Amino acid sequence: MNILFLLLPIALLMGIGALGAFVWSAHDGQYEDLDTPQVRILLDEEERKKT
Amino acid sequence: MEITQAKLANCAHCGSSFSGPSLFCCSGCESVYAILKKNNLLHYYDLKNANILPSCTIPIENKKENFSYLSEESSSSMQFYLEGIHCIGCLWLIEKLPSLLPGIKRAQLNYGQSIVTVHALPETNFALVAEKLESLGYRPHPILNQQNPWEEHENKMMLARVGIAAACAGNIMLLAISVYGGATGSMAELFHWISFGLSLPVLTFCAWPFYENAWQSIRQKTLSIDFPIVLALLAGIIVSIKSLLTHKNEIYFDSLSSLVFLLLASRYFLKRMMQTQFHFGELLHTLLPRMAKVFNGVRWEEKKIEALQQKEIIAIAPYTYFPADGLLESTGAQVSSASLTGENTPHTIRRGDLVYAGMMNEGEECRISITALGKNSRLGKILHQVQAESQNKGRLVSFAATTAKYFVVGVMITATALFLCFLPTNIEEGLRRALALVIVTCPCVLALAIPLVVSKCLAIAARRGIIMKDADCFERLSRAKNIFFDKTGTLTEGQFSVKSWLEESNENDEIKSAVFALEKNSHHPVAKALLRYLAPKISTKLPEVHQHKEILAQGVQGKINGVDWEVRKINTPDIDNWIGVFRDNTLVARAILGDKLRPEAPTALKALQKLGLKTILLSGDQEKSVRQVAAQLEIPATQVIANATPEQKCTEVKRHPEPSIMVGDGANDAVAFAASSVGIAVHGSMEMSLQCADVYISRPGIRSIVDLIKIARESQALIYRNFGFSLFYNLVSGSLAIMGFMSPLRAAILMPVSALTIYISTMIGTRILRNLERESAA
Repeated sequence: MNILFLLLPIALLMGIGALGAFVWSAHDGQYEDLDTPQVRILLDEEERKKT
Repeated sequence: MEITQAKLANCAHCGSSFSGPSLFCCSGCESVYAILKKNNLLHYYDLKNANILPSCTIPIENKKENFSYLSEESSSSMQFYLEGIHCIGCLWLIEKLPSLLPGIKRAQLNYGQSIVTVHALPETNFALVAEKLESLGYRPHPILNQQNPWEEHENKMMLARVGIAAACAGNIMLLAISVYGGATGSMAELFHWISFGLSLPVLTFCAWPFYENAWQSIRQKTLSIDFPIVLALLAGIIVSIKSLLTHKNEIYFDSLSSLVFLLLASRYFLKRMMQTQFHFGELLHTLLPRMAKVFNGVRWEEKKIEALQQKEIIAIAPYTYFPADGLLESTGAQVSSASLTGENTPHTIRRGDLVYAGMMNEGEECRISITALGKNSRLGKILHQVQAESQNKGRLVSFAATTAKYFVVGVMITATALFLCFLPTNIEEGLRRALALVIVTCPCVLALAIPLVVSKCLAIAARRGIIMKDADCFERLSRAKNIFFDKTGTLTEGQFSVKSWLEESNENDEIKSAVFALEKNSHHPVAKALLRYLAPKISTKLPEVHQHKEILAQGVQGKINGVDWEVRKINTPDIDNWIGVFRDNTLVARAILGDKLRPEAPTALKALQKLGLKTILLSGDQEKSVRQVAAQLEIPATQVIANATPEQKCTEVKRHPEPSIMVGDGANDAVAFAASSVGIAVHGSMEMSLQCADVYISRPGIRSIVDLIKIARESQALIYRNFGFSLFYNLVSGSLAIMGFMSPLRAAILMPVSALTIYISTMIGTRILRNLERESAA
């Protein structure tokens, strides 16, 4: 079980890394609008279909 | 003979069905199609009909709003809330704005909130942007005074807090489970210390808003719901740290962290729901023009309204608002005080008569000498009164605040009593139990229940196009006993429409196209009504009119193919307007115009009465028309008030001590809004009344008010039910704590379980709410 002394810090570091990524994306405003990008993707596809 | 054959067709633009040979159901739709065609944007219809998202079947209304106040705004971006965004075609079209107007860099639509952010070059005239959006069929509401950068920053921090709390709480719980599962010794010690480390950011940074609010509430000597939460947190922190240092097992980091996470998450959701808020610039400016033509003794020049002075003579063009109070200098004029009293029939005034700012000039250009300006004008005084009333708005003491008070007091008394019981015998045990009590009976479920229910109900309301200004509107709505209705524009359509059209002989389209051609360029309300009625009924080309002449407020005349035509008012026995169409001086057709009652009004009012609300008609219009409407709606005569000035409307509302709702649309309802518990502005309201109202219904009609009341009442019922669960959990956990059976493990189980119960209970909602959700209107 002593391996946990090594595993725990590694796991925590990875967790903190992921958390940092989340905080960064929140600050970047990526969570401001969750509905429109879903639909906007479809728009480009339509236009490309035409041309 | 009237047209009895109704040939149903679908409007080529909006898709709604109508009867008539032309391609479009109304000139609004036709004009939008013309704009799209001209700019090569017909792809809109492909997208719309692809049915990727529910599409719109509401015909375009042609009301034009005065946006000139926007030309003063000098920024490079502006946000507008848009009505009528329904389908993916709308999204595509709005984002094509740069190709429709010069100077626009980008238009970005937030589809879920219906808010478009327009980025433009500096010095762009946003009034033109607003007009363009309106011409496309999306009524824009400018959001001025946007969120300052500090607020935006706060919002992002909130989300970061939720994320950090979630991540840390989850990991702490993983570690805690191992300990509860039987880990002991140095491993358990290690886990405890790591839990402590992970809980630090949660209990300091993430929980910061709670500490702040609790501190504020102490300073204001009130008890908000954050206070007991902070007590629980502090108690838990103290006990846990002490146990950590003394190697005992009373560690509560897992419960505390998950508590913080759940509370933050529910508050964040509520905040997101409340995002749509209208911020307006100065109220007066939204109604009145910015510039006026002033005579300075020698010639006429343009001056800003703010620069005008008393006794100056200004000229008011036809169909513009008077910018100030004044005395009429011209010999006569036709004015309409629709925005002030709701009466939309123009009336004649003579030289020396008083006009008020906010009235509209319905005739030729006239001149007035200013008697009062800005804040001193009658309109200014009304707005001042509105602001004063809003300050005094008797905020109903909310249910949440009352329960918070009782709760805190109750818990504190019990905890102190418990501690005192153990004082003589076993201080430590007493402390342990008392602190456990405080931690575990924390009103996490109370603090969860109300935001979750309110967010859910806001979402249901939003799907119906109902926008609410603050979260406790629902509570005030559910307690209302009286509902006051304005007449013009609220219960009626607010504009002249053709009620019936009689032709002497049914000879194809000749008469109709003649009338259309004659009235085409007039701005008079009667002309507009005729045009609207005739547009879908004409399929032939319009004839050419020669010697066209408009006698303002009387009628139009002209020569078509050598024949004299005239369309003018004829005498009527009652209050409706009768218009006669004359060809070669013989009457060939007759139209009866009036302000039609909204078709859903009778059923809506009956439904409201059935819900137990007293319906009162409060109008500024004249007695006869008000009584007629009251009779049609079966409102008893005692509950009808006519000829009410804006000030009188306010007094009448205040005369009723019980909570009241005011429903209106114009400047004359603004004061009444402020005086009532909840002010509801209906679709088509002047921007000014939107500022004063608490609720805005962005779709035409009053049917949604009935739904709104139902939603409000159900939200209260749901809150009470959640409160019942909360009480149950608190009693159970409280008793366990008092009896000494509360351990960190039990706390860690009870708290998430209770929160989950509340969450599930809210999601399931009540039967009525489920029905309302299901029938969320397109």
